[in-house]
Amino acid sequence: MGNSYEAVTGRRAAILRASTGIDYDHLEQGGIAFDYEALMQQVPLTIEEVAAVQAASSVGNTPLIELHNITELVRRESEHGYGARIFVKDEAANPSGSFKDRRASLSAYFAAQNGFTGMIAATSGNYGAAVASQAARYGLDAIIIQEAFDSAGVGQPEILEKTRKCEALGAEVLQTSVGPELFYALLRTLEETGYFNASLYTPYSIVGIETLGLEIAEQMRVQTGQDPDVVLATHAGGGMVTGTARGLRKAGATNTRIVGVSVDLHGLHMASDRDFNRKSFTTGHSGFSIPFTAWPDRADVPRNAARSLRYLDDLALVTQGDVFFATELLARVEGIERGPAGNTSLAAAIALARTMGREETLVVSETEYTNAGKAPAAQLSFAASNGIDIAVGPRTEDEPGATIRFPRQLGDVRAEHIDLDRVRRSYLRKQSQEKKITAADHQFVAGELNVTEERLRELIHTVTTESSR
Amino acid sequence: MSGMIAEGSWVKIRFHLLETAERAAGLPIETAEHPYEVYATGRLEAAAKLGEQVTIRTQIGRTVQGELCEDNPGHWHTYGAAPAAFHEVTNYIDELRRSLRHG
Repeated sequence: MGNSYEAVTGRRAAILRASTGIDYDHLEQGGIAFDYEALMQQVPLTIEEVAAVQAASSVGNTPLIELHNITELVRRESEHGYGARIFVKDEAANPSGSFKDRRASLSAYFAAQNGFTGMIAATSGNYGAAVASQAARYGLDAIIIQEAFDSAGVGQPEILEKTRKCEALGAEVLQTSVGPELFYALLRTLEETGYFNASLYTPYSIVGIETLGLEIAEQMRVQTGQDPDVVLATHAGGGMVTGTARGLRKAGATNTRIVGVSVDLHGLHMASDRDFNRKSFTTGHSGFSIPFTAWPDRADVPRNAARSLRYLDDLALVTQGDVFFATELLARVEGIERGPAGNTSLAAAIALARTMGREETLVVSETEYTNAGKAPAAQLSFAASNGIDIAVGPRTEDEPGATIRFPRQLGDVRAEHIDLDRVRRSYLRKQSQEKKITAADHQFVAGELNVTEERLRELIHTVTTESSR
Repeated sequence: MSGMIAEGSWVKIRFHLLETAERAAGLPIETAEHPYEVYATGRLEAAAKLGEQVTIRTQIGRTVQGELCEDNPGHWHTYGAAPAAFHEVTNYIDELRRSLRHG
Protein backbone atom coordinates (compact mmCIF):
# COMPACT_ATOMS: atom_id res chain seq x y z
CA MET A 1 0.00 0.00 0.00
CA GLY A 2 1.92 3.01 -1.27
CA ASN A 3 1.88 6.59 -0.10
CA SER A 4 2.29 8.24 -3.49
CA TYR A 5 -0.15 11.01 -4.35
CA GLU A 6 -1.96 8.75 -6.79
CA ALA A 7 -2.06 5.75 -4.42
CA VAL A 8 -3.45 7.70 -1.46
CA THR A 9 -6.02 9.68 -3.43
CA GLY A 10 -6.99 6.39 -5.10
CA ARG A 11 -7.98 5.09 -1.65
CA ARG A 12 -10.07 8.18 -1.04
CA ALA A 13 -13.49 6.49 -0.98
CA ALA A 14 -12.48 3.86 1.58
CA ILE A 15 -10.65 6.39 3.78
CA LEU A 16 -13.59 8.79 3.78
CA ARG A 17 -16.12 6.05 4.50
CA ALA A 18 -14.09 4.86 7.48
CA SER A 19 -13.44 8.37 8.79
CA THR A 20 -16.95 9.85 8.46
CA GLY A 21 -19.17 6.82 8.97
CA ILE A 22 -21.08 7.86 5.86
CA ASP A 23 -21.46 5.56 2.88
CA TYR A 24 -21.75 8.14 0.14
CA ASP A 25 -22.17 5.49 -2.55
CA HIS A 26 -25.61 4.61 -1.16
CA LEU A 27 -26.80 8.17 -1.76
CA GLU A 28 -26.03 8.12 -5.47
CA GLN A 29 -29.00 7.88 -7.84
CA GLY A 30 -27.10 7.19 -11.04
CA GLY A 31 -26.25 10.02 -13.40
CA ILE A 32 -25.68 13.36 -11.74
CA ALA A 33 -28.30 13.18 -9.01
CA PHE A 34 -27.88 12.05 -5.44
CA ASP A 35 -30.27 12.11 -2.47
CA TYR A 36 -29.33 15.39 -0.81
CA GLU A 37 -31.92 15.26 1.97
CA ALA A 38 -30.89 11.68 2.78
CA LEU A 39 -27.34 12.99 3.16
CA MET A 40 -28.54 15.67 5.59
CA GLN A 41 -30.54 13.05 7.50
CA GLN A 42 -27.30 11.27 8.34
CA VAL A 43 -27.59 13.52 11.38
CA PRO A 44 -30.59 11.91 13.08
CA LEU A 45 -31.39 14.87 15.32
CA THR A 46 -34.09 17.53 15.26
CA ILE A 47 -32.89 21.13 15.24
CA GLU A 48 -33.93 21.41 18.90
CA GLU A 49 -31.81 18.35 19.72
CA VAL A 50 -28.88 19.88 17.84
CA ALA A 51 -29.28 23.06 19.90
CA ALA A 52 -29.25 20.96 23.08
CA VAL A 53 -26.04 19.17 22.02
CA GLN A 54 -24.45 22.54 21.29
CA ALA A 55 -25.64 24.10 24.53
CA ALA A 56 -24.01 21.23 26.43
CA SER A 57 -20.64 22.36 25.07
CA SER A 58 -21.38 26.10 25.44
CA VAL A 59 -21.99 26.67 21.73
CA GLY A 60 -24.70 28.94 20.36
CA ASN A 61 -27.22 31.28 21.97
CA THR A 62 -25.05 34.22 20.96
CA PRO A 63 -26.27 37.83 21.21
CA LEU A 64 -28.00 39.60 18.33
CA ILE A 65 -26.88 43.22 18.41
CA GLU A 66 -28.58 46.11 16.63
CA LEU A 67 -26.00 48.48 15.16
CA HIS A 68 -27.84 51.72 15.93
CA ASN A 69 -24.94 54.05 15.16
CA ILE A 70 -24.02 52.49 11.83
CA THR A 71 -27.69 52.46 10.85
CA GLU A 72 -27.92 56.16 11.71
CA LEU A 73 -24.82 56.96 9.63
CA VAL A 74 -26.17 54.95 6.68
CA ARG A 75 -29.47 56.82 6.88
CA ARG A 76 -27.65 60.15 6.64
CA GLU A 77 -26.15 58.94 3.35
CA SER A 78 -29.44 57.57 2.02
CA GLU A 79 -32.41 59.10 0.24
CA HIS A 80 -35.38 60.06 2.39
CA GLY A 81 -37.12 57.02 3.83
CA TYR A 82 -34.21 54.70 3.11
CA GLY A 83 -31.67 53.08 5.39
CA ALA A 84 -32.62 49.66 6.75
CA ARG A 85 -31.86 48.66 10.34
CA ILE A 86 -28.63 46.62 10.58
CA PHE A 87 -28.13 43.84 13.14
CA VAL A 88 -25.20 41.52 13.72
CA LYS A 89 -25.12 38.06 15.26
CA ASP A 90 -22.15 38.12 17.62
CA GLU A 91 -20.79 34.67 16.93
CA ALA A 92 -17.45 35.67 18.45
CA ALA A 93 -19.17 34.79 21.74
CA ASN A 94 -18.77 31.08 20.96
CA PRO A 95 -16.00 29.23 22.88
CA SER A 96 -13.31 29.46 20.18
CA GLY A 97 -14.53 32.80 18.85
CA SER A 98 -16.54 32.06 15.73
CA PHE A 99 -19.64 30.34 14.34
CA LYS A 100 -17.35 27.44 13.38
CA ASP A 101 -17.96 26.04 16.86
CA ARG A 102 -21.47 25.17 15.65
CA ARG A 103 -19.93 23.09 12.85
CA ALA A 104 -17.34 21.40 15.03
CA SER A 105 -19.73 20.62 17.88
CA LEU A 106 -21.72 17.97 16.02
CA SER A 107 -18.57 16.41 14.56
CA ALA A 108 -17.14 16.08 18.07
CA TYR A 109 -20.44 14.71 19.40
CA PHE A 110 -20.68 12.02 16.71
CA ALA A 111 -16.96 11.23 16.82
CA ALA A 112 -17.20 10.58 20.55
CA GLN A 113 -20.46 8.63 20.22
CA ASN A 114 -18.94 6.37 17.57
CA GLY A 115 -15.77 5.58 19.46
CA PHE A 116 -13.27 7.72 17.59
CA THR A 117 -10.44 8.99 19.79
CA GLY A 118 -9.57 12.02 17.72
CA MET A 119 -10.63 14.39 14.94
CA ILE A 120 -8.78 15.87 11.98
CA ALA A 121 -9.64 18.95 9.95
CA ALA A 122 -7.84 20.39 6.95
CA THR A 123 -8.42 24.12 7.21
CA SER A 124 -6.59 27.41 7.47
CA GLY A 125 -9.68 29.09 8.88
CA ASN A 126 -11.32 29.51 12.26
CA TYR A 127 -12.66 26.00 11.90
CA GLY A 128 -9.33 24.61 13.10
CA ALA A 129 -9.69 26.40 16.43
CA ALA A 130 -13.31 25.25 16.64
CA VAL A 131 -12.35 21.60 16.13
CA ALA A 132 -9.52 21.97 18.64
CA SER A 133 -11.88 23.57 21.15
CA GLN A 134 -14.69 21.04 20.78
CA ALA A 135 -12.18 18.17 20.84
CA ALA A 136 -11.00 19.49 24.18
CA ARG A 137 -14.57 19.57 25.50
CA TYR A 138 -15.07 15.92 24.51
CA GLY A 139 -11.62 14.67 25.55
CA LEU A 140 -10.64 13.89 21.96
CA ASP A 141 -7.33 14.45 20.18
CA ALA A 142 -7.29 17.02 17.38
CA ILE A 143 -4.99 17.41 14.40
CA ILE A 144 -5.35 20.54 12.27
CA ILE A 145 -3.69 20.63 8.87
CA GLN A 146 -3.19 24.20 7.65
CA GLU A 147 -1.92 25.58 4.37
CA ALA A 148 0.19 28.19 6.11
CA PHE A 149 3.30 29.39 4.30
CA ASP A 150 4.93 29.95 0.92
CA SER A 151 8.09 28.30 -0.37
CA ALA A 152 10.21 30.89 1.43
CA GLY A 153 8.65 29.75 4.71
CA VAL A 154 6.74 33.01 5.15
CA GLY A 155 3.32 32.62 6.76
CA GLN A 156 0.21 34.73 6.29
CA PRO A 157 -0.32 36.56 9.65
CA GLU A 158 -3.98 35.60 9.93
CA ILE A 159 -3.13 31.93 9.48
CA LEU A 160 -0.23 32.17 11.92
CA GLU A 161 -2.70 33.45 14.50
CA LYS A 162 -4.91 30.46 13.80
CA THR A 163 -1.90 28.15 14.26
CA ARG A 164 -1.26 29.75 17.63
CA LYS A 165 -4.87 29.39 18.67
CA CYS A 166 -5.11 25.73 17.66
CA GLU A 167 -1.95 24.93 19.61
CA ALA A 168 -3.24 26.89 22.60
CA LEU A 169 -6.34 24.68 22.54
CA GLY A 170 -4.21 21.53 22.62
CA ALA A 171 -4.24 20.50 18.97
CA GLU A 172 -1.37 19.14 16.92
CA VAL A 173 -0.90 21.50 13.99
CA LEU A 174 0.67 20.44 10.71
CA GLN A 175 1.54 23.54 8.70
CA THR A 176 1.96 22.94 5.00
CA SER A 177 3.32 24.89 2.07
CA VAL A 178 1.03 26.07 -0.74
CA GLY A 179 -0.84 23.51 -2.80
CA PRO A 180 -4.00 21.52 -3.30
CA GLU A 181 -2.22 18.50 -1.83
CA LEU A 182 -3.75 19.56 1.48
CA PHE A 183 -6.36 16.91 0.68
CA TYR A 184 -3.63 14.32 0.22
CA ALA A 185 -2.15 15.31 3.58
CA LEU A 186 -5.59 14.94 5.15
CA LEU A 187 -6.18 11.48 3.65
CA ARG A 188 -2.76 10.24 4.75
CA THR A 189 -3.23 11.51 8.29
CA LEU A 190 -6.73 10.05 8.52
CA GLU A 191 -5.40 6.69 7.37
CA GLU A 192 -2.44 6.77 9.78
CA THR A 193 -4.50 7.71 12.83
CA GLY A 194 -7.97 6.25 12.29
CA TYR A 195 -9.39 9.56 13.52
CA PHE A 196 -12.73 11.12 12.56
CA ASN A 197 -12.75 13.38 9.51
CA ALA A 198 -14.22 16.61 10.87
CA SER A 199 -14.63 17.92 7.36
CA LEU A 200 -16.25 21.30 6.83
CA TYR A 201 -18.52 19.68 4.28
CA THR A 202 -20.16 16.72 6.02
CA PRO A 203 -23.80 16.95 7.13
CA TYR A 204 -22.56 17.12 10.76
CA SER A 205 -20.91 20.40 9.93
CA ILE A 206 -23.79 21.91 7.99
CA VAL A 207 -26.61 20.78 10.28
CA GLY A 208 -24.62 22.34 13.11
CA ILE A 209 -25.03 25.76 11.47
CA GLU A 210 -28.81 25.45 11.17
CA THR A 211 -29.18 26.61 14.77
CA LEU A 212 -27.67 29.93 13.71
CA GLY A 213 -30.54 30.52 11.28
CA LEU A 214 -33.04 29.42 13.91
CA GLU A 215 -31.62 31.81 16.50
CA ILE A 216 -31.58 34.73 14.04
CA ALA A 217 -35.28 34.22 13.28
CA GLU A 218 -36.29 33.82 16.92
CA GLN A 219 -34.22 36.77 18.16
CA MET A 220 -35.42 39.06 15.38
CA ARG A 221 -39.03 38.22 16.20
CA VAL A 222 -38.38 39.22 19.81
CA GLN A 223 -36.43 42.39 18.96
CA THR A 224 -38.42 43.65 15.96
CA GLY A 225 -41.61 41.60 15.86
CA GLN A 226 -40.81 40.25 12.41
CA ASP A 227 -38.50 37.99 10.45
CA PRO A 228 -35.42 39.63 8.95
CA ASP A 229 -35.84 40.86 5.38
CA VAL A 230 -32.27 40.00 4.49
CA VAL A 231 -29.56 37.86 6.07
CA LEU A 232 -26.04 38.44 4.79
CA ALA A 233 -23.65 35.53 5.11
CA THR A 234 -19.95 35.72 4.39
CA HIS A 235 -19.43 33.12 1.71
CA ALA A 236 -16.53 30.79 0.95
CA GLY A 237 -17.14 27.03 0.84
CA GLY A 238 -20.91 27.47 1.20
CA GLY A 239 -21.45 26.18 4.74
CA MET A 240 -22.59 29.45 6.30
CA VAL A 241 -25.05 30.14 3.47
CA THR A 242 -26.44 26.60 3.41
CA GLY A 243 -26.75 26.03 7.14
CA THR A 244 -28.11 29.47 7.97
CA ALA A 245 -30.67 29.32 5.16
CA ARG A 246 -31.85 25.86 6.20
CA GLY A 247 -32.18 27.02 9.82
CA LEU A 248 -34.21 30.07 8.78
CA ARG A 249 -36.52 27.82 6.78
CA LYS A 250 -36.93 25.43 9.70
CA ALA A 251 -37.85 28.44 11.82
CA GLY A 252 -40.50 29.39 9.27
CA ALA A 253 -38.67 32.49 8.02
CA THR A 254 -39.34 31.55 4.41
CA ASN A 255 -39.44 35.10 3.03
CA THR A 256 -36.01 36.12 4.28
CA ARG A 257 -33.60 36.72 1.43
CA ILE A 258 -30.14 35.14 1.67
CA VAL A 259 -27.25 37.19 0.35
CA GLY A 260 -23.80 35.60 0.16
CA VAL A 261 -20.91 38.07 0.38
CA SER A 262 -17.26 37.50 -0.50
CA VAL A 263 -14.12 39.60 -0.72
CA ASP A 264 -13.20 40.14 -4.34
CA LEU A 265 -9.83 38.49 -4.99
CA HIS A 266 -10.19 38.10 -8.75
CA GLY A 267 -6.95 37.40 -10.57
CA LEU A 268 -5.22 35.67 -7.65
CA HIS A 269 -4.59 31.93 -8.11
CA MET A 270 -5.34 29.98 -4.95
CA ALA A 271 -2.69 27.33 -5.70
CA SER A 272 -0.01 29.87 -6.56
CA ASP A 273 3.04 30.08 -4.33
CA ARG A 274 3.57 33.64 -5.60
CA ASP A 275 0.00 34.83 -4.93
CA PHE A 276 -0.40 33.12 -1.55
CA ASN A 277 0.87 36.04 0.51
CA ARG A 278 -0.52 38.75 -1.74
CA LYS A 279 -4.03 38.51 -0.34
CA SER A 280 -5.14 40.20 2.85
CA PHE A 281 -8.06 37.84 3.47
CA THR A 282 -7.50 34.13 3.79
CA THR A 283 -11.13 33.02 3.68
CA GLY A 284 -14.55 34.41 2.82
CA HIS A 285 -13.19 35.43 -0.56
CA SER A 286 -14.10 34.88 -4.19
CA GLY A 287 -11.18 32.49 -4.71
CA PHE A 288 -13.22 29.96 -2.76
CA SER A 289 -16.80 31.15 -3.08
CA ILE A 290 -17.17 31.32 -6.85
CA PRO A 291 -15.68 27.86 -7.55
CA PHE A 292 -17.50 26.27 -4.60
CA THR A 293 -20.84 27.81 -5.62
CA ALA A 294 -20.51 26.57 -9.18
CA TRP A 295 -19.03 23.19 -8.22
CA PRO A 296 -19.75 22.24 -4.58
CA ASP A 297 -18.34 18.70 -4.88
CA ARG A 298 -14.76 19.99 -5.20
CA ALA A 299 -14.68 19.39 -1.42
CA ASP A 300 -12.82 16.84 0.75
CA VAL A 301 -15.85 14.51 0.81
CA PRO A 302 -17.55 12.84 -2.19
CA ARG A 303 -20.75 14.86 -1.78
CA ASN A 304 -20.66 18.29 -0.19
CA ALA A 305 -23.49 19.00 2.24
CA ALA A 306 -22.87 22.72 1.67
CA ARG A 307 -24.67 23.54 -1.57
CA SER A 308 -25.05 27.29 -1.55
CA LEU A 309 -26.62 27.75 -4.96
CA ARG A 310 -29.71 25.97 -3.62
CA TYR A 311 -30.23 28.76 -1.10
CA LEU A 312 -28.71 31.98 -2.43
CA ASP A 313 -31.01 34.81 -3.48
CA ASP A 314 -28.10 37.10 -4.27
CA LEU A 315 -24.32 37.00 -4.33
CA ALA A 316 -22.21 40.12 -3.81
CA LEU A 317 -18.54 41.05 -3.81
CA VAL A 318 -16.85 43.73 -1.74
CA THR A 319 -13.26 44.92 -1.93
CA GLN A 320 -10.54 44.31 0.63
CA GLY A 321 -10.59 48.07 1.30
CA ASP A 322 -14.35 47.95 2.01
CA VAL A 323 -13.82 45.26 4.65
CA PHE A 324 -10.97 47.08 6.38
CA PHE A 325 -13.21 50.15 6.45
CA ALA A 326 -16.16 48.19 7.90
CA THR A 327 -13.91 46.61 10.52
CA GLU A 328 -12.79 50.01 11.77
CA LEU A 329 -16.31 51.40 11.61
CA LEU A 330 -17.66 48.57 13.77
CA ALA A 331 -14.88 49.07 16.29
CA ARG A 332 -14.88 52.86 16.51
CA VAL A 333 -18.57 53.65 16.08
CA GLU A 334 -20.20 50.65 17.74
CA GLY A 335 -17.42 49.68 20.17
CA ILE A 336 -17.25 46.13 18.82
CA GLU A 337 -13.78 45.04 17.70
CA ARG A 338 -14.06 41.89 15.62
CA GLY A 339 -12.21 39.99 12.91
CA PRO A 340 -12.65 40.23 9.16
CA ALA A 341 -15.06 37.37 8.41
CA GLY A 342 -18.32 38.97 9.54
CA ASN A 343 -17.13 42.41 8.50
CA THR A 344 -17.12 41.21 4.90
CA SER A 345 -20.90 40.93 5.16
CA LEU A 346 -21.10 44.13 7.18
CA ALA A 347 -19.52 46.05 4.30
CA ALA A 348 -22.20 44.71 1.96
CA ALA A 349 -24.90 45.44 4.57
CA ILE A 350 -23.86 49.09 4.63
CA ALA A 351 -24.20 49.27 0.86
CA LEU A 352 -27.45 47.31 0.71
CA ALA A 353 -29.14 49.15 3.60
CA ARG A 354 -29.04 52.36 1.54
CA THR A 355 -31.33 50.73 -1.01
CA MET A 356 -33.86 49.41 1.52
CA GLY A 357 -36.61 51.16 3.45
CA ARG A 358 -36.17 52.26 7.07
CA GLU A 359 -38.75 49.74 8.22
CA GLU A 360 -36.75 46.87 6.71
CA THR A 361 -34.03 44.87 8.46
CA LEU A 362 -30.68 43.29 7.60
CA VAL A 363 -28.83 40.76 9.71
CA VAL A 364 -25.10 40.11 9.36
CA SER A 365 -24.93 36.47 10.34
CA GLU A 366 -21.61 36.44 12.16
CA THR A 367 -18.72 38.10 13.85
CA GLU A 368 -15.39 36.43 14.64
CA TYR A 369 -12.78 37.07 17.32
CA THR A 370 -9.80 39.21 16.45
CA ASN A 371 -6.21 39.22 17.61
CA ALA A 372 -2.66 39.81 16.41
CA GLY A 373 -2.40 38.73 12.78
CA LYS A 374 -6.11 39.28 12.16
CA ALA A 375 -6.28 43.00 12.91
CA PRO A 376 -6.32 45.41 9.94
CA ALA A 377 -2.91 46.89 10.74
CA ALA A 378 -1.39 43.40 10.87
CA GLN A 379 -2.72 42.55 7.43
CA LEU A 380 -1.95 45.95 5.95
CA SER A 381 1.64 46.05 7.18
CA PHE A 382 2.11 42.54 5.77
CA ALA A 383 0.56 43.63 2.46
CA ALA A 384 2.87 46.66 2.31
CA SER A 385 5.87 44.41 2.95
CA ASN A 386 4.76 42.34 -0.06
CA GLY A 387 4.72 45.39 -2.30
CA ILE A 388 0.97 46.04 -2.28
CA ASP A 389 0.17 49.70 -2.95
CA ILE A 390 -2.21 50.96 -0.25
CA ALA A 391 -4.15 54.22 -0.49
CA VAL A 392 -7.50 55.92 -0.10
CA GLY A 393 -8.98 56.06 -3.57
CA PRO A 394 -11.54 54.95 -6.11
CA ARG A 395 -12.46 51.27 -6.22
CA THR A 396 -11.67 51.28 -9.93
CA GLU A 397 -8.00 51.33 -8.86
CA ASP A 398 -8.45 48.31 -6.59
CA GLU A 399 -6.57 45.31 -7.97
CA PRO A 400 -6.20 42.25 -5.71
CA GLY A 401 -2.56 41.34 -5.28
CA ALA A 402 -1.36 44.76 -6.46
CA THR A 403 -3.37 47.50 -4.78
CA ILE A 404 -5.76 48.08 -1.89
CA ARG A 405 -8.01 51.12 -2.05
CA PHE A 406 -10.01 52.30 0.96
CA PRO A 407 -13.36 54.07 0.52
CA ARG A 408 -12.98 57.81 1.06
CA GLN A 409 -16.32 57.98 2.83
CA LEU A 410 -19.15 55.75 4.00
CA GLY A 411 -21.10 56.37 0.81
CA ASP A 412 -18.25 54.90 -1.23
CA VAL A 413 -18.67 51.43 0.33
CA ARG A 414 -20.25 49.31 -2.38
CA ALA A 415 -21.34 45.73 -3.05
CA GLU A 416 -21.04 44.38 -6.57
CA HIS A 417 -23.84 41.98 -7.38
CA ILE A 418 -22.91 38.80 -9.23
CA ASP A 419 -25.31 37.47 -11.84
CA LEU A 420 -26.42 34.14 -10.33
CA ASP A 421 -27.44 32.86 -13.76
CA ARG A 422 -23.80 33.19 -14.78
CA VAL A 423 -22.85 30.95 -11.85
CA ARG A 424 -25.68 28.54 -12.73
CA ARG A 425 -24.40 28.25 -16.28
CA SER A 426 -20.93 27.57 -14.91
CA TYR A 427 -22.42 24.77 -12.75
CA LEU A 428 -24.08 23.24 -15.82
CA ARG A 429 -20.90 23.45 -17.90
CA LYS A 430 -18.93 21.73 -15.16
CA GLN A 431 -21.57 19.01 -14.71
CA SER A 432 -21.66 18.44 -18.46
CA GLN A 433 -17.92 17.86 -18.47
CA GLU A 434 -18.35 15.10 -15.88
CA LYS A 435 -21.56 13.39 -17.00
CA LYS A 436 -24.39 14.00 -19.44
CA ILE A 437 -27.36 15.78 -17.84
CA THR A 438 -30.36 13.57 -18.58
CA ALA A 439 -34.08 14.20 -18.06
CA ALA A 440 -33.87 12.01 -14.94
CA ASP A 441 -31.48 14.55 -13.43
CA HIS A 442 -33.64 17.60 -14.08
CA GLN A 443 -35.50 17.67 -10.77
CA PHE A 444 -32.23 17.34 -8.85
CA VAL A 445 -30.38 19.93 -10.92
CA ALA A 446 -33.29 22.39 -10.74
CA GLY A 447 -33.07 22.06 -6.95
CA GLU A 448 -29.32 22.56 -7.10
CA LEU A 449 -29.74 25.78 -9.07
CA ASN A 450 -32.84 26.98 -7.18
CA VAL A 451 -34.81 27.39 -10.42
CA THR A 452 -37.92 25.83 -11.95
CA GLU A 453 -37.45 22.91 -14.35
CA GLU A 454 -38.66 25.19 -17.15
CA ARG A 455 -35.95 27.73 -16.31
CA LEU A 456 -33.44 24.89 -16.08
CA ARG A 457 -34.25 23.80 -19.64
CA GLU A 458 -33.64 27.40 -20.81
CA LEU A 459 -30.29 27.50 -19.02
CA ILE A 460 -29.26 24.13 -20.47
CA HIS A 461 -30.20 25.39 -23.93
CA THR A 462 -28.05 28.50 -23.43
CA VAL A 463 -25.06 26.46 -22.27
CA THR A 464 -25.45 23.96 -25.12
CA THR A 465 -25.68 26.78 -27.64
CA GLU A 466 -22.59 28.49 -26.19
CA SER A 467 -20.54 25.28 -26.26
CA SER A 468 -21.51 24.45 -29.85
CA ARG A 469 -20.25 27.80 -31.14
CA MET B 1 27.92 19.10 23.85
CA SER B 2 27.78 22.49 22.10
CA GLY B 3 24.72 23.08 19.90
CA MET B 4 22.89 20.08 21.29
CA ILE B 5 19.21 20.55 22.02
CA ALA B 6 18.13 18.52 25.01
CA GLU B 7 15.70 15.62 24.94
CA GLY B 8 12.20 16.83 25.82
CA SER B 9 12.77 20.32 24.40
CA TRP B 10 9.89 21.98 22.52
CA VAL B 11 11.05 22.13 18.90
CA LYS B 12 9.93 22.52 15.31
CA ILE B 13 10.72 20.05 12.53
CA ARG B 14 10.09 20.03 8.82
CA PHE B 15 9.78 17.30 6.23
CA HIS B 16 8.78 16.87 2.62
CA LEU B 17 5.45 15.12 2.28
CA LEU B 18 5.83 15.12 -1.51
CA GLU B 19 8.97 15.81 -3.50
CA THR B 20 8.70 18.09 -6.51
CA ALA B 21 8.31 15.21 -8.96
CA GLU B 22 5.57 13.63 -6.83
CA ARG B 23 3.28 16.64 -6.62
CA ALA B 24 -0.23 16.88 -8.06
CA ALA B 25 -0.63 17.61 -11.74
CA GLY B 26 -1.69 21.00 -13.04
CA LEU B 27 -0.01 23.19 -10.44
CA PRO B 28 1.18 26.71 -11.33
CA ILE B 29 4.88 26.55 -12.22
CA GLU B 30 5.96 28.65 -9.25
CA THR B 31 4.24 26.14 -6.94
CA ALA B 32 5.27 22.97 -8.75
CA GLU B 33 8.97 23.80 -8.56
CA HIS B 34 8.99 23.39 -4.77
CA PRO B 35 8.43 20.24 -2.69
CA TYR B 36 5.25 20.00 -0.64
CA GLU B 37 6.56 20.69 2.83
CA VAL B 38 5.16 20.31 6.33
CA TYR B 39 6.17 21.87 9.65
CA ALA B 40 5.25 20.29 12.98
CA THR B 41 6.06 21.07 16.60
CA GLY B 42 6.53 18.81 19.60
CA ARG B 43 8.91 17.49 22.25
CA LEU B 44 12.25 16.15 21.07
CA GLU B 45 12.53 12.39 21.69
CA ALA B 46 16.36 12.39 21.90
CA ALA B 47 18.99 15.14 22.10
CA ALA B 48 20.01 16.43 18.66
CA LYS B 49 21.45 19.38 16.73
CA LEU B 50 19.68 21.65 14.29
CA GLY B 51 19.61 20.08 10.85
CA GLU B 52 19.58 16.49 12.11
CA GLN B 53 16.76 14.04 11.41
CA VAL B 54 14.81 13.59 14.62
CA THR B 55 11.60 12.27 16.11
CA ILE B 56 9.24 14.47 18.07
CA ARG B 57 6.19 13.72 20.16
CA THR B 58 3.40 16.19 19.36
CA GLN B 59 0.92 17.74 21.78
CA ILE B 60 -1.47 14.82 21.28
CA GLY B 61 1.26 12.19 21.73
CA ARG B 62 1.90 11.20 18.10
CA THR B 63 5.44 10.72 16.91
CA VAL B 64 6.54 12.55 13.77
CA GLN B 65 9.94 12.49 12.04
CA GLY B 66 11.72 15.29 10.24
CA GLU B 67 14.64 17.72 10.12
CA LEU B 68 15.13 19.66 13.34
CA CYS B 69 14.82 23.32 12.34
CA GLU B 70 14.03 25.38 15.44
CA ASP B 71 14.49 25.19 19.18
CA ASN B 72 11.68 26.54 21.31
CA PRO B 73 9.60 28.00 18.45
CA GLY B 74 7.29 30.85 19.34
CA HIS B 75 4.49 32.84 17.76
CA TRP B 76 5.76 36.17 16.54
CA HIS B 77 2.92 37.55 14.46
CA THR B 78 1.95 41.03 15.58
CA TYR B 79 -0.80 43.65 15.41
CA GLY B 80 1.35 45.48 12.87
CA ALA B 81 1.61 49.17 12.11
CA ALA B 82 -1.06 50.73 9.95
CA PRO B 83 0.10 52.52 6.80
CA ALA B 84 -0.54 56.25 6.56
CA ALA B 85 -3.52 55.78 4.28
CA PHE B 86 -5.29 53.74 6.92
CA HIS B 87 -4.95 56.59 9.40
CA GLU B 88 -6.93 58.71 6.92
CA VAL B 89 -9.68 56.10 7.20
CA THR B 90 -9.65 56.01 10.98
CA ASN B 91 -9.57 59.81 11.20
CA TYR B 92 -12.63 59.98 8.94
CA ILE B 93 -14.45 57.35 11.02
CA ASP B 94 -13.60 59.23 14.21
CA GLU B 95 -15.24 62.32 12.65
CA LEU B 96 -18.35 60.25 11.96
CA ARG B 97 -18.35 59.12 15.56
CA ARG B 98 -18.12 62.71 16.82
CA SER B 99 -20.95 63.70 14.50
CA LEU B 100 -23.23 61.18 16.21
CA ARG B 101 -22.74 63.06 19.47
CA HIS B 102 -24.67 65.98 18.00
CA GLY B 103 -27.63 63.89 16.85
